[in-house]
Amino acid sequence: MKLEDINKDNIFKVPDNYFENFPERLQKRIEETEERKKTPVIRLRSIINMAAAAVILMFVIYGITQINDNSTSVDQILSEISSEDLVNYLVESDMSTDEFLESLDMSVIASTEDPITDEFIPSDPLDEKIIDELLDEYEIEMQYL
Amino acid sequence: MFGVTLHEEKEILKRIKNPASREIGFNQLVVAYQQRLYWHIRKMVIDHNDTDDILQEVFIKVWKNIEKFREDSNLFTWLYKIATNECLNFLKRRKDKYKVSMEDANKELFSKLDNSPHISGSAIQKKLQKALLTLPDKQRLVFNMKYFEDMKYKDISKITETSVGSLKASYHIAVKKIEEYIKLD
Repeated sequence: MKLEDINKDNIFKVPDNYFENFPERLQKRIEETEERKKTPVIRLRSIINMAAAAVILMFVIYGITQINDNSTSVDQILSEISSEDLVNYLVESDMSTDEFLESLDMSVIASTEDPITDEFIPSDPLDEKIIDELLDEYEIEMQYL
Repeated sequence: MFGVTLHEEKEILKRIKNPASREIGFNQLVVAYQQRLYWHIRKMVIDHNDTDDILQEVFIKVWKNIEKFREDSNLFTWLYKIATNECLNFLKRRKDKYKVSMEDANKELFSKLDNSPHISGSAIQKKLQKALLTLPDKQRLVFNMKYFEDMKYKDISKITETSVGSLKASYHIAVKKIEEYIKLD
């Protein structure tokens, strides 16, 4: 017997009204899936937001601390002493130029340079696209749970 | 193509893209394509309940990803591709889960073919289905699309991402194997 001799009719059957009811059943299933996912997604989004906020806060505090340190060690002290007094002190003291240079705290001088360089700040720490991609990925994973 | 005109397809997509009519549009998409996709899946997995599960998964994926659908591609090809992938994944998972050989998995499906209230047909028609179950899944898929669904190689090629030449060879081998099986008592 050849293949073409066999009746091609569909031998599979579906329960009564299956196709009539399918769209409604599917709709319910989609609603359930979306409801179920809402909670963890919101939670994940909050965690990401909180983490991002914490990172920003750390940078801000770091920046302020650096600025404060600088002003305390150099700017603030200098601002409290008049230039005239400073010059008088240096003229009257026995300190040689070499000794003066030696007494300077080089680390303070280094820290007076801009402490917040580009490498400390991510170019785009809160890239929405990346977060959305992560969330999408998370959602896909969720449905296999 | 496939019973839904290009114009109707565009109208459905337009509704889906508009947030105000998204659900109505999606519902129309389901009504328009559910039967074709159901039968495509059913021929691969045989069991109605498994088909029902997979069909729901397919449409849930469509609902989530419809925004990513490029309008220059054919909607039905896209839907068929999702359904085909879901089917093949399901069959692979089933084999992995039960760690059964193709022969053992087929025994269960053979019994369904003989006893399920949702399967009718003559003895020879059932024998053809049993012959199909002896083929590798992808070969069976190609055979179903060409033989039962009367699809063009060009369209099958887009769905399976296989060259027309390979598809023709695959179909030819499948027909030979089936005819040999049918000859057996």
